[in-house]
Amino acid sequence: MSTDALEQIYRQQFPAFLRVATAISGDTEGGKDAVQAAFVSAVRNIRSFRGEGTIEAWVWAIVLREARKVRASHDVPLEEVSELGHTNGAVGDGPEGVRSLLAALPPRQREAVFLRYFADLDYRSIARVLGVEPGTVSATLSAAHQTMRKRLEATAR
Amino acid sequence: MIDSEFVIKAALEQLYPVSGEPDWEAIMAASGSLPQPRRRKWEFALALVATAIVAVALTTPLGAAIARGLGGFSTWISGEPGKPAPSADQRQFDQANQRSWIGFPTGTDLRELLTTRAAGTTVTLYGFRSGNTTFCLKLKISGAAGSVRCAPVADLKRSDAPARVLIADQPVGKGTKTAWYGIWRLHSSHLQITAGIAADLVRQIVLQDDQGRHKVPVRSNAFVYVAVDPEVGQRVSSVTAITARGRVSIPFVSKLFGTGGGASAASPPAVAVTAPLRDGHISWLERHDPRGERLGVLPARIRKGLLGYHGLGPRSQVLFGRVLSPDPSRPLRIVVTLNAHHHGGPAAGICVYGATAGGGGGGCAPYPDTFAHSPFDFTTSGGGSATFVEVTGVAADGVARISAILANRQSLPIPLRDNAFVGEIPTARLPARLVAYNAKGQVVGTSDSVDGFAPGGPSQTRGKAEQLMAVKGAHGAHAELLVGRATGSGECAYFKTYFSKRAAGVMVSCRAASWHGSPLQFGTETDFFLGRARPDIKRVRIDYLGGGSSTFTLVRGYLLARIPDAHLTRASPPTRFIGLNAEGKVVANQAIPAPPPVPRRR
Repeated sequence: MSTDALEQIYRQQFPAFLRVATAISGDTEGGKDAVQAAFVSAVRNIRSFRGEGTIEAWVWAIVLREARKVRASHDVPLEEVSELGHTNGAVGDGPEGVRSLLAALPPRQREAVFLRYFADLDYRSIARVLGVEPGTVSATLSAAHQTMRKRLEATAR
Repeated sequence: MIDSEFVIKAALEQLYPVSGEPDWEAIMAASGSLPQPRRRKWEFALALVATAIVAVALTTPLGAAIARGLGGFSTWISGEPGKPAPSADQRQFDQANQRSWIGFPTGTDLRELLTTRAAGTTVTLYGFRSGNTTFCLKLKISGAAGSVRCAPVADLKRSDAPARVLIADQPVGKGTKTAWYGIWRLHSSHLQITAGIAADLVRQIVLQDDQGRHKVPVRSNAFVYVAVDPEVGQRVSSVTAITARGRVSIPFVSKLFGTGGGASAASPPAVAVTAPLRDGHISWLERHDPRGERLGVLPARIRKGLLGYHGLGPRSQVLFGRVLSPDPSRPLRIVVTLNAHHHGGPAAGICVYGATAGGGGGGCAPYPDTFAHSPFDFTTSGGGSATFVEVTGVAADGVARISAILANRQSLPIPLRDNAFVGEIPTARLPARLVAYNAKGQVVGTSDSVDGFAPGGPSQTRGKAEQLMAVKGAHGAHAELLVGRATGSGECAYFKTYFSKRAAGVMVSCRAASWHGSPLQFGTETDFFLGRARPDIKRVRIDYLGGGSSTFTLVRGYLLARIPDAHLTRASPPTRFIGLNAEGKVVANQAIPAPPPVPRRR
């Protein structure tokens, strides 16, 4: 596997990588650092990718790992960052409402949502990124949807 | 009932807008995986074979004549191509420039060159000159991240071709096609963009790729070709300029796709050293003179990444360092530090890093030993959709200027200031050689060949690799050999090894259809013997220290076998591979230089 393939993925999906890394790390600069660190790591360790699953899933797993590291180094829980703008525990309309819904999700559900909607990964790839079975992804996303749908519908009423 | 998936997706995109552009060069620089002048070696001693000559489109005398006759690139060198960019775009550019710790010079004017639409995507090309030495193209792509590519104005003054490609096959978005390349299933891009500039009277540019020939118009001395829904691995292979006087082939080297390739088989122009400069120093660095800027100007995360290393070796303790700008018109700085092995120790190493807005990378060398036989020390970086290779380095006192002597023997000056240098060399003019001159104009030193990753040798081609062998080792370790096709009817081998969840990997080696190199290309990888042999060699005997041997029959010339437990120890390691032909006669042998490493068990 050459670094060309990595460059292609990087350029193809840069906005998605940045969005997910930003969402997990807590801020844009942290997201940029995480994406940068992830691809540096991927280039250095390209030989350790054994062709099991897609290379995209392999890269996404590294991006998530680096984003979690950035978040840990900031010592700011995602929930705290994500709840900015959220008042009185109510689910508001629009993006901020979704932000607070996301903050309320367990970490794995939240990451699965990011990977589904930003990375546009299929269940099998999400499973590889998160290190779980595909069936678990289905159940995880289903639970996340259910939680969010209930609260969105409650807000819409 | 509401469409919660739609709401979530739309909200996420608003919550986390993308601000920033990809910077692949910074990643390559930081990874240290830069194309080096020296060829990399496989750990298991399989020799890479590089036979094909890089397809360099040679410029014709007609091209040079036309370029001269057209006034070359006067619009780019001293004029103002296109029209002023819309104020919103200029403002956005200025703001991004100001946010960055290094940017283009204040007052840099963005010029709008052309806009094209393809498959629902709008691609706008801007251009600008940065200082007197650099010109740049900036791509703005609707719904996707853009990019900026720069090149030296000096390259335009070499009037040998009426167009330059600055961006080649830059992927945009995710396509719908997939293809196997060996053991990897790869996705296509939604679009691939190739862009460049043209001399005043060039009317059209013709690009050839896997989809055929494509004519694109030249507008504002620039062109853009957008390949829609390209195949996986699709590449522009040639570029031609059409002028009123005829067609001119533009120097261009296709991007390599997949693993393999290699350095050009050609040699760079020979240059005689007339006044050798040996045992050099950088005096101001030793005196701690405050040249350039202090290290504190580096953003914390870049400083940490570059200087945060704590371990043994010459970069352990920074004694003194400065941030230098050999070419102020480029958003790139050279960080030079003098280092000791330990606190209070003498200067023992010099570290040189190229730092961009997004990060950086570089390396260290013993000091002053690095100047013992050569007056400069440098690294190269590039690859991807770039059509230039970047050289960054330091030169000893006494070096007054540096030039790159290109494959066509033209000379390209490399900006040098405060003993640091940085420059760009067109990949279509590789291999090149750096040449250092003293104040009298005498040659004080030359480099080895400066080359880039190019499709110079066999590389992966489309098709899924098939398993040839699989063996099990101790404690759950296992290995697998797959083979797949390579360019030029060659073959790529994929050795997949697994020792534990954290120690697993794959080694890829592609070879040409005809055999090159040593008859035995074997090695050891922890628990396993692996490699390949010339086709006439049918079996391999492995001798061990202290006596004893094992014999294996090769499968299509390949070996993959478990090292017997008794010979995994340092007491009785394998010492030699012996190649046997069909009659059992010894036809080749290969020494095994060191005992195999102790198996890693995590």
